[in-house]
Amino acid sequence: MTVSGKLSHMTDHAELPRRRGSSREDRCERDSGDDGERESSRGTSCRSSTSAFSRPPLLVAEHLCKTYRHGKLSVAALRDVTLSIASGATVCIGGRSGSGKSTLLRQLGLIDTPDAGRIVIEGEDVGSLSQRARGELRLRKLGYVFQEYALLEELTAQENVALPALMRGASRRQSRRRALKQLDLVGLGERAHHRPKELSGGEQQRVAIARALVNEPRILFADEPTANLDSASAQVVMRTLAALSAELRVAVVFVSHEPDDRDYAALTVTMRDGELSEGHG
Amino acid sequence: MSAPRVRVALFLSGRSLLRSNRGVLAATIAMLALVYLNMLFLPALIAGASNHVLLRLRETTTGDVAIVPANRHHGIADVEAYEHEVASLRGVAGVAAVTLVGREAFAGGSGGSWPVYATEPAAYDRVFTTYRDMIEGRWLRRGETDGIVLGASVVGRGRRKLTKLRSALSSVHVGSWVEVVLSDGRSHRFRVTGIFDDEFSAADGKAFTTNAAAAKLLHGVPDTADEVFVKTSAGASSEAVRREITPLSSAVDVESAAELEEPIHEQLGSDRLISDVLKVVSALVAAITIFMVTYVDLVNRRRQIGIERAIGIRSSAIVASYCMKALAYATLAMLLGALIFEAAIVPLVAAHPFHFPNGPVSLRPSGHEMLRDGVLLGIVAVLAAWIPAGRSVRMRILDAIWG
Repeated sequence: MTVSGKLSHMTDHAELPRRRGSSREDRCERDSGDDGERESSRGTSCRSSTSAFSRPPLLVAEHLCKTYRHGKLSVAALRDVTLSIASGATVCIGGRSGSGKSTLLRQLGLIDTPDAGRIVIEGEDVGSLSQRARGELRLRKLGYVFQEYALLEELTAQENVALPALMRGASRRQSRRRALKQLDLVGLGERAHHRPKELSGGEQQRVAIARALVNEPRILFADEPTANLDSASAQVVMRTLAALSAELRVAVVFVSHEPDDRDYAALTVTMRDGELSEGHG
Repeated sequence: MSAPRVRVALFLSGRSLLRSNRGVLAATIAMLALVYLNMLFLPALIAGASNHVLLRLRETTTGDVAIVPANRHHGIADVEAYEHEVASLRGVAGVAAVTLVGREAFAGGSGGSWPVYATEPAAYDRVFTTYRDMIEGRWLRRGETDGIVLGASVVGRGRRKLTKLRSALSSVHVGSWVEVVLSDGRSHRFRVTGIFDDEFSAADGKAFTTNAAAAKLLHGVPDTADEVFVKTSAGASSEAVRREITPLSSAVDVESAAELEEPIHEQLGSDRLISDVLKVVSALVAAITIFMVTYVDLVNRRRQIGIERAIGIRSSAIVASYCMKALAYATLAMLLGALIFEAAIVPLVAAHPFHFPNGPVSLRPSGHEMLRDGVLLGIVAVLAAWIPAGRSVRMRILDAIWG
């Protein structure tokens, strides 16, 4: 597997808050503090995290916090998570169920908004962007594969894949051609005119991958892409992801709690109780 | 909205229409088609009624131009010469003078107040169509001095309730003798030569005899007349003819058809207001139908909408796809409704018209009105889809995906 980038994260999360004289919990509580001050302190961590790379990072996430509230109950899903992802990296985010790995992926994929912290993609702080601009960014630079296939039932495989291309401005013909090309890449060219219900779970997930790649994103996020698949289908999906990452030079960040899936990543990090720690697959 | 968004909206709405539940699609279109039919029906009925009234008014009662004495107590003097002058004008196809010669008629123990007019039959035929509406016997002949024709209301023909009125000469038929109280107070017996039914209440309550009979019975007739009616030739404007006639005499008032129809139009104004109110109700029903269909669709597709947004499809494109779908529903409903209306309902009502007090009424659809109602239906459908669709895309993506 070609590794074309690295992931760096704050390996010493305990130290960083101590240096600033505040705890991680304090930082997550301070989600509405002074922006200028927050910018300054995060700039430090950002610089320290990118200093290890020869290239500037594609995505930098700093001090991400996310708490889910259900009435009086609140669950801290992310606690001051900081990481950066370089172009072409293949990263697995592991961890037990409920550790916050999917939450982290959704923040990075701009599907959700963190309570605190900031995300910078190719130098652009997405926190300052409107919903419309975030949508545009998702369309142009990010691809997202959901755990449960998430294909549009009324559309064929080809139409599912073509839709983001159409939204990005391709003509009907161009988008169909590009969709077919992506389906060929994931080995489903012959199933282009099948509806999702006519495809197996593994095939649906590969269609979802083709859809995520049709606009040639810089980063592909995959949330437990093999969770609902049998082992044979899971292997096909993971091989497809790894091969496409190498061939298309797309950074791939995927969430998985399957130990086997970690073999496909150059780097594995682990989420535990909303905190990030390094671990190798 | 940018071209890609329009393309995506068209793509999504088209696929959804083609591949969604056919039963729901058919039921929605059928419901909207009914609403559209409802929007069309009453205006077409009012148009049919007004058309009937205005047409019958011209054909049986007022002609295209009506000339009356300026001073209502005196008739139009030297009427024969005046008729010739009017008849010689450009755009005039016929001129008929009428004189009121009696106000009451009796036969077989029944009687009542009906105006009896004297006229020159041939001239009257050139202005009015009464001679074509005979249901018994024949129209008057020039020179006959004892003949009379009676309107259907006078004899109660075709109107069951009227035959029960003591005043209706229900025992009268062609050949019967009718006693008329003339304008000088004397009575004279006329033989009924015909009974006409103009299907217009204002005309069917009259009786006619000839100028020859009036000349024999009354002094001064036919030198003076109470009214002169003018039929314009095809394509001629009644207003233009009125302007030509007016300078001929200062002793008369000349009114064109448009002026004569004013009271009818005022009456129809109320009917149109009722029609508009019902149209608003129909539009609300259409809006609620589309709103419910869209809302249920949105609830069922909440996750799909979340996915669409997550993969970068603009919210505006998603909302537009629902609006386009609603517009497609409305357009299909309009076409179906128009087809049913023109091909089934209008011919059916023409064959079996509604019987209103002023006569039989059929539907008179207006292409302009149908198009306007179709546009109204389309606008209402788009608005009714836009409201729930707009709200649904404001939901957080994750909430939408998770349901």
